[in-house]
Amino acid sequence: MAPTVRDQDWSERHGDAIREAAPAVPDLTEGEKIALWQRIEASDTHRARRRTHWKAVVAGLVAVGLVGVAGAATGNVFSAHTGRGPVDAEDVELGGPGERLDPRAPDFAGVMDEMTTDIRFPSVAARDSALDWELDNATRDRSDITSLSSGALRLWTAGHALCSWSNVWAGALRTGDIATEQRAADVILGARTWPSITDTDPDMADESEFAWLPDLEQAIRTDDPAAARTALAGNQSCMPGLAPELRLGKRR
Amino acid sequence: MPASSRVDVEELYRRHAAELRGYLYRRAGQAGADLLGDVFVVALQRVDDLPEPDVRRAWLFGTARRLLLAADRENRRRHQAERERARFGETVADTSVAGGSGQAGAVQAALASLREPDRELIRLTEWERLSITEAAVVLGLRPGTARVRLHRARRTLAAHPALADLSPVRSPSRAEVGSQRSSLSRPPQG
Repeated sequence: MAPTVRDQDWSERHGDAIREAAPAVPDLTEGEKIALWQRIEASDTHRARRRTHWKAVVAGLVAVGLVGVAGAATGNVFSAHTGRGPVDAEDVELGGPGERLDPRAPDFAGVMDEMTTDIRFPSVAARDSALDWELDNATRDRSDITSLSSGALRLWTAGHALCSWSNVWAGALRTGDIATEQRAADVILGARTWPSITDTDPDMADESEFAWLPDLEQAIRTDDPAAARTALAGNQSCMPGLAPELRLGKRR
Repeated sequence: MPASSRVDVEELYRRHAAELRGYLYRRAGQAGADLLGDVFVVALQRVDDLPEPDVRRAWLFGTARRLLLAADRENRRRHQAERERARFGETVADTSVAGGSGQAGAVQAALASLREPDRELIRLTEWERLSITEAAVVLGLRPGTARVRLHRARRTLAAHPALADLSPVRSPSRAEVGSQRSSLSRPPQG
């Protein structure tokens, strides 16, 4: 929005008006408060007993496939949702914003799926492939990754989506499918407003995670697949198999 | 930091239950308020790895927000599973309690003109009286990003026709205009 004199007229009167417009909240009586705490404690004690049972079950499992069965049965006890966020700015800087997810939890794949539903892929197959890759990467060595921020997960998934769209764009460019090329280009050129990107990397400059996006945008604008390949490959933004049109192979 | 105990969570409950309930109620009515217990069940489950004391209030609000979002997702899934699933770029439905008529209605209209994260930033800082840093934790934003977004959201609100009457009436001199424009030409960076 263009700055105007009017824009900066935020005053205490505005703050007062906003606060006065807050919906009234019925009182919570002291008795209700005490009763609720008792229910909270009782609920947690109940869950603790179930958790102990879950540990015993898992200890007896040998086949990895059975872990999924146990997880499904106890999903409300051990969840990838930790409820924890970054503890300070440095934590955000190092680990990304958002909730710290636990990849070891049996519902991690479902949580990952839920948290990335707004990220647009050209096909269900591309999305599934990207999420499978991230799932495998996060859970391959369970002792290695014990916490993963939702912001980082969403950012990486956005990278895979852009890689997939770049592949569609390059293929359409090669075959002269103007409509598909334009559609893919529009998605890529609009990506800088995706919350999955801007929440973690609003600047897209210097050494930031998505500093390569402007290069990709320029490649799209100039119909230059080689430049698109350079932008994506140089920053390891494509997982194997997502961009064969750009001849992007293994990530590492 | 020594591990927290159930006593710590109980103390958090005593201190923050009322304001958290207010937050939940203002966003989703009684159904939201009913999530208050779940917030503290999560806290008890995570008692061994609660954040530092100075960010626990924000952590509780963040947990409450995630529960609201999860409940909203569940509701939408129950009612519109296939349709919602296929739609890209959707935003979280705003189920907050209406603020009434008159000026409250005007404020609600102005708030509704903001994007959800910006609207929530305004509400967290004004209604819940969270600091910008705390609101940033709740929304999973960098504090600097939250500052810039709050600044822009306030500018947008102040310029909204529904709130026009609240702006100071004055006729700035040409020199004032130049000064004000230069100070707004670059929003504060975090």
